[in-house]
Amino acid sequence: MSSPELTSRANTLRRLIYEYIDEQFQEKVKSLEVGTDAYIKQQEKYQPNNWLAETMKRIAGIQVVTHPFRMTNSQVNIRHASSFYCNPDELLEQNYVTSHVLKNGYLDDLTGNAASFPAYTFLQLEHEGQTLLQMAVRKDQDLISALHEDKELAALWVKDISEIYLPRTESVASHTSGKQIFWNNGEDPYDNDNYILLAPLYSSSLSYELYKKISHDRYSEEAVKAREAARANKIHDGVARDYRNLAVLKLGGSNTQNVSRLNNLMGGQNYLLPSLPPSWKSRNQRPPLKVSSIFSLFEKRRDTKQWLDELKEFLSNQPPANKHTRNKVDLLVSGLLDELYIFVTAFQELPAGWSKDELCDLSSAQCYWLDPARGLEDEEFAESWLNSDWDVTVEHDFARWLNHQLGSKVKHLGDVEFRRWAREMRKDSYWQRFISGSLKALQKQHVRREG
Amino acid sequence: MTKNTLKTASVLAFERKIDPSDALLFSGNWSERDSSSSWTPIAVREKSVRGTISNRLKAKDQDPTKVDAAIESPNLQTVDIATLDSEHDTLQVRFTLRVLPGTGTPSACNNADYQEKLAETVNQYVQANGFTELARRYSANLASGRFLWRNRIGSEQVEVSIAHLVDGKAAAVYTFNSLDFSLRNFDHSTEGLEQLSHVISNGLLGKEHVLLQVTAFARVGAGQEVFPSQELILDRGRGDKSKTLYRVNGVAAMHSQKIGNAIRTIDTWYPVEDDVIDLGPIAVEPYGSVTTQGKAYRQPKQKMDFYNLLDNWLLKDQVPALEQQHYVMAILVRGGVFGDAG
Amino acid sequence: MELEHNAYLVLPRLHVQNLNTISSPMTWGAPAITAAMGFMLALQRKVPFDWELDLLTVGMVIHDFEPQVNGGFVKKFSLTRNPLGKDGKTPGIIEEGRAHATISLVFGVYVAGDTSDELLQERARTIYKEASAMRFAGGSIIYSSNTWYKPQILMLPEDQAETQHTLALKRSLLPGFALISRDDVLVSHTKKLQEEEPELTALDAWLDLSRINKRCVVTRIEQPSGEIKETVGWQSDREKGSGWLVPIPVGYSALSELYKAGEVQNARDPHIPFRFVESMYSIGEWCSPHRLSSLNELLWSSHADHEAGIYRCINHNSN
Repeated sequence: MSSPELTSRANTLRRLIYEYIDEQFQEKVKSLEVGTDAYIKQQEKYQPNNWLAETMKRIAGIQVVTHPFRMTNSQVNIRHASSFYCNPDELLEQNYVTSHVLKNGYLDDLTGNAASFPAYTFLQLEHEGQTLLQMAVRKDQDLISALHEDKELAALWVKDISEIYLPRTESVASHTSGKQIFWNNGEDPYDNDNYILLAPLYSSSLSYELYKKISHDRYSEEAVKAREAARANKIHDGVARDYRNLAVLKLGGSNTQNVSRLNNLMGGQNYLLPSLPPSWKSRNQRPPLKVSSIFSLFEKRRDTKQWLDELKEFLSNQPPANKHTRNKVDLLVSGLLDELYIFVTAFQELPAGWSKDELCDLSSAQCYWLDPARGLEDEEFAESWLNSDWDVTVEHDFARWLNHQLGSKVKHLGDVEFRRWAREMRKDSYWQRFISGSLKALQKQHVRREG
Repeated sequence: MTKNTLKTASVLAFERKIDPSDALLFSGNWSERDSSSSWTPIAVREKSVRGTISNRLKAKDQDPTKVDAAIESPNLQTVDIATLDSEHDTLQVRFTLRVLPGTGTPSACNNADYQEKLAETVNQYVQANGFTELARRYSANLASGRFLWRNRIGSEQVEVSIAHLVDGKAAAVYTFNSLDFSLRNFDHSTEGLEQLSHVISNGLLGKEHVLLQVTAFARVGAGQEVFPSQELILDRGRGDKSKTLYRVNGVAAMHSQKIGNAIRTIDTWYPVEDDVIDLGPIAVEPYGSVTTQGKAYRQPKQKMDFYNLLDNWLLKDQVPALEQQHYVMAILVRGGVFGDAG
Repeated sequence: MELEHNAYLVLPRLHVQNLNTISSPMTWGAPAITAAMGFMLALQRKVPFDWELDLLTVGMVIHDFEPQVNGGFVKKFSLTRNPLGKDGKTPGIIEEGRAHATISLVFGVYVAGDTSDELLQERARTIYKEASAMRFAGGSIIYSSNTWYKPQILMLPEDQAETQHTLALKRSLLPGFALISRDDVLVSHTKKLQEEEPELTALDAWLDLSRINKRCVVTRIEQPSGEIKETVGWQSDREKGSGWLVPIPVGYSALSELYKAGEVQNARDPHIPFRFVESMYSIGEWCSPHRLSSLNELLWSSHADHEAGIYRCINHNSN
């Protein structure tokens, strides 16, 4: 097997390669009888030069990548849309998360014809800490001589191997199913020339890193123990990590390998972290039964307390009665009214008519305020809604409640402020216009029906 | 004549021009159609059903004792179900529909010559035909309540009311007795249908903003089951529900895609072999595919699919028959990604 | 074009149906702020040039959000059937995540010259109409009969101080949550983690901020009897008042050179330069508008730095 023309390192490399091929051969003919046609056929196939020539063909059908296009659409041939290998070390170092964070280690991904992925395993054969692929990239002369006696052919092979990182498209190409967005360069947006196209690609190397970390936090023994301890409220020195609203995006359908090797390792399960907005509607919003004033619930909220505390603190320092004080109080009361607005909307969105419940102890004014849609089906209710001064009553309720909360601290602000709050309250009536409109329509309808 | 070297664009996409919202389902009484806005939203409930073993057993499960055991172990399943209230006899289905101008103007196209030729071709079609034929068929599918799908079957009475909204108010309302319209052809017409067609045609031509509020009533009988869309869920876990119905904010609903599919079920121009009975209109799709039948009625080999027709028309100046022109235009109204990038 | 806005344009309560809820390769939920930016540019091009009305910045307030997902702890996306291919077979399923949302958009606008309020409001209505026929993050804007919210253009006083009008505008955005940037939190948290373990990266900090970490805290209290009583409690590391922090994509970072127009095959437009990029992530916060001292704090603008290869949205609230 060793050849006198070769350097001893080249000989070692050749031995490494041939032994690998032989291993593959032995595995293949395990169940075949020596000398049969099938055996001889395999023997022919695994003859080193034949096997290498075939492997080179396979290498042309795959690409080593960090950003495979097939994460976007697994049906697209790698010759039709470019995929990229981007070494994190060469990417811009920045404070934000991009695949540059993989500098401390990551896995190369493979895309293309999945049946040819084993060719990559061959390129990962190592000698003195160097893989065949790394040697090929350096155009290692010993590797060239080791691969084939025909040096010209071998040099071509090495070139082909080293190009395994390059896009397999004829020239750089995106795809009609790829995402492409127009980005304005800061100049006149009416002018087409002031845009460039950005084509975002998935980093499967980064997605895989995320997958590993999250999987560890969810399934590792360490994580399971910490979670159990937390649930049982037992002493434990681990961290229980909880990913709420985590989502899984399945890529590649039933053929995850079609997308890429790393996608296959993830079982196609790409984790997505949630940027969901909070919901101001609580899931089990209940009608405010068995309370005589809505303010007794309102004052228990943490957000309400925050505004109140700030207001109390400001007033407790005896601020002078001037414009600045007025503005500051205005701002704080306005914040409190905003809280009230949010708080109240949740009740207004409940199924109409909840205030009919026997357990509802609210004043009729507060019922009109909090269950307005009841007027859409209850004409008597609608009538009083339109014709009584319930809003004035509610304003007084609010003012009385606030004065009570602030206690003596508000005394010197006097009656003027009291009425300003009331006015503020009335202005806060986007829904009021809408509902009175609807109610008028309802009444008209009834009149028509009766007439 | 110069040699024609026009090539199709490798990136070519169109936005849909008939854009329905999801449809919400409500429960009420036929006699109270006037106050339809205060009907009760239909909720989706869960129900347990005891399935019977009727699927083909695998060979290893065919041991008689095992079959008995399997039949005894109840095949309990949870499914979603939606029904009318017991005191209500009518289903109301409500959605809005936007009709947008710009048919034939791609949202993405990377070949200016092609785009120009396309614009010219669409323009010629519009000059000669307007959108009259397409608009008439879309209108008929609204009037007939085709978009009710299963909910239309067996209904005693069906009425569709369509309001043309201008600045949030109904500028005109068209009401149809839907059962007068056949689902198999587009022969029936009424004055209201002609007017509605005119409005939709104006929307496609860009003569006015067109927003329609469609309200359908199907008198299906007190407490009857109704049929919202079903969710497509892959990899259901063990013990997961086996049927999940679609809902929006807790209200049973039909997917906008499903409504859109019914509205564009206007293709009666696909090739049929002589011995096949008339199948009636199918939804406008590039290959004339019908999901429920797993069949494509416009196979590329017949050269009657969208791509062949469009390429021949644009690249080779082979003007298709008028019916096929209608079909090609309807695909452009439908929208989609049609680039030729392999 | 370094213009400063002198007005707000508000498009209130857009009901967006079937918007794309997969905002990047690693996040889902609310649309990315880049989607709002794309919407702004497309909308600008529908505003008649001679109105001299420039949309400079955009803010996104979400009032209601209903993702089409199912599953318990880990969410899966509800899919719809795609049309069949030419062979009548089901094509490979490409997962899409959808959501319905009610969104208000606030734009920082520069209005040139003197325009009467009447004309401005009429223009706001026209712009609202145009916007309603557009797509937002891939979703359709559907009609809603709740018409008590009106689009409006609000001219600001020269010192941009809060007025009755801006306060009323802020309240009209309630209840809802505006997206603001918290780059500062990501940066400081990365630093904090690296002080303990230098090999940790922004990815670790980002993940750490995206989950709830609970640690066991044991408190020992000496009883009057001299006995020591231990209490065990698992505590979340989310500091009170740290805000509703979420991981968000904020733009794109270059993977390739900036290709000249026409160099890249199958580009949507062969007449402009082209670049391959990847998503760039930071931390954002959902903040109720009434907690902002000025509406300016919810506005984002877009930036392009060809040299560094950074294309991102910046929120002026940050830092």
